[in-house]
Amino acid sequence: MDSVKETSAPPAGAGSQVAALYQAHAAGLVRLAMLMLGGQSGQSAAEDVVQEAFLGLYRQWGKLSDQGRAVAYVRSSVLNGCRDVLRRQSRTVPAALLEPNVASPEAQVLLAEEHREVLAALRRLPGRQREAVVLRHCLGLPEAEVAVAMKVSRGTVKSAAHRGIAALAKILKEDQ
Amino acid sequence: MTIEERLRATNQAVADAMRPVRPLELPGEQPARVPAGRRSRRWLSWGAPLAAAALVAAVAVSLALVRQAEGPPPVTPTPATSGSATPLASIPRYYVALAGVGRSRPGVLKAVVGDEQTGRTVAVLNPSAGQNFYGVTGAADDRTFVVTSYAGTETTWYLLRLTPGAANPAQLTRLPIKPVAARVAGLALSPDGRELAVMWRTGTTQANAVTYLAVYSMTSGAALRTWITRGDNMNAIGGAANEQGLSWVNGDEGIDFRWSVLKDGTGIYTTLIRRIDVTAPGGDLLADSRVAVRLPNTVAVTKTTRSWPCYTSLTAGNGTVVCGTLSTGNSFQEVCSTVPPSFVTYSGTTGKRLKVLYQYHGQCLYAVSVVVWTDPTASRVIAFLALSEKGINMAATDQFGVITDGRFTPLPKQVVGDANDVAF
Repeated sequence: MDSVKETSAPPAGAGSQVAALYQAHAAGLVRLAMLMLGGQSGQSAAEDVVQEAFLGLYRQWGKLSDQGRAVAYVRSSVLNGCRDVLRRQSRTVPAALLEPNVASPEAQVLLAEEHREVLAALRRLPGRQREAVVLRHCLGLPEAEVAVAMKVSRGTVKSAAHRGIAALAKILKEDQ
Repeated sequence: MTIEERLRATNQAVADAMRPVRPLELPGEQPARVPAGRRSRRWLSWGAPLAAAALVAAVAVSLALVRQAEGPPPVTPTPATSGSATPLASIPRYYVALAGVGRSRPGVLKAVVGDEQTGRTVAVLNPSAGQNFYGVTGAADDRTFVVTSYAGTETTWYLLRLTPGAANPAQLTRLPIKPVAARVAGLALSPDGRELAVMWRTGTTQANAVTYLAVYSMTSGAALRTWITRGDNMNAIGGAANEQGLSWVNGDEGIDFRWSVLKDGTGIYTTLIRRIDVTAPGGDLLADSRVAVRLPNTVAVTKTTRSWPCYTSLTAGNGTVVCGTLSTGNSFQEVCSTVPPSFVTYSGTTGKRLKVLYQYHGQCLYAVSVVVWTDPTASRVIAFLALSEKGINMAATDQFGVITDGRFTPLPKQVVGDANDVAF
């Protein structure tokens, strides 16, 4: 009889604890990813990012020094995943195409024009401003949690969010 | 409208437009990398590596929130249409399921009281604002249930009393039991409905983990008994509200719980059914409990197939342990023929394997067998059998059934909800 290396057996604990976290937070994190990706890629791409983040959490579960901070860890991973997606897209998609009128059919079906405008405007913000605005103003997270997710200081969150809002106002006004 | 208001409106619009998030896929055998590119949304096209199958099987039954709308048609266990004259007799008529029904906010579970005899929904109860139901257990009278609720930091307790035919057939009242600062991992109402057994763990690291088993009075809310053990000793608990298979045995004088210990460095789990005497003194969860059944380790049957002999369990009132298996692998032709999904009983006295209550014969890629309810002698069991042929099948509602005389008879009426969130 051949043996199977069992070092990653589906555990009764880690898997189910990560699953419980997923159950509680997946929807919110997918929404975060959709906002970060600007609605261009639709929900499936956002789900891919979130799945990757939870996969990373699962792999690292035993090494987490504080499992109570798992949500902050996975939120930060989602942001990282979104950065990767956007980086890949920026290398392959001409900036001119990143406009609301070329959103994926899925995104077009899902959202009204006014909201797609906001998503498109978000997409045009510098990365740090976009993250600060989405986490702080869309998801309503406290500055301290935004800082942890972005791995920056609270002061940076404050200034990035402020500048982001100002830039959004300008973009949306110009587009009218 | 300010920019901030437009952002909030867009956020809400995105939330409203989202379809249910697909279930979590985790690796089992090897940390297989999830493809970075965009995947098809159909389960069938995901392929079926051992890794995905194994963990999804582990995770799937606890994911009521994240149902996938698309996917292969349900795989119904081979039904028994003849044989036992009354396979559905003597099972509880009413159940309470926690499910996102009606106009639920995403992720919010309601308590749905169902009548298995008629298929009707008796009542739907909402959690109070900021709360969310996540666990349920029932007494033997088919009328008394306890529902747990979680609000981000602690678990609170509700009594659900059922009065069929009354103008208000289901009443939910908060129990006087002190909230617990954790999600519970074991939950069992005594058959007479007078005491509630709960297991949970606090702490965030192996060093500071403390596992508790407590028995509470349903009338006064007082903690009648508490047992603890410190450190996790490579033991992981958590997940579903009764993941530990907490069960009352021997005339409510004992409590069984499943205790899986990971052999350090091996990845192999040894699963024990431990039994604690509620009438005996002591407060040490492990020192004051004894091993009733030492179950076979996780088994690697072939290079590509494996089985967990007791992935879920409940103990009948007479002390007989009923186990449900998990079978997985990466070959559709091989898995269920090599490690057939089974419900097996073990003696809580001798620890020996007694009999196979039911074994599924057919093809599958993975199968998880959940023990949902057992009668006092383990001769009649309500079970949930989740099978997947290819990819991942989450169509759970038609796979609840009654096992008796070696047969699995699907329940005639659909049970709302998920195997881990239903109490009969």
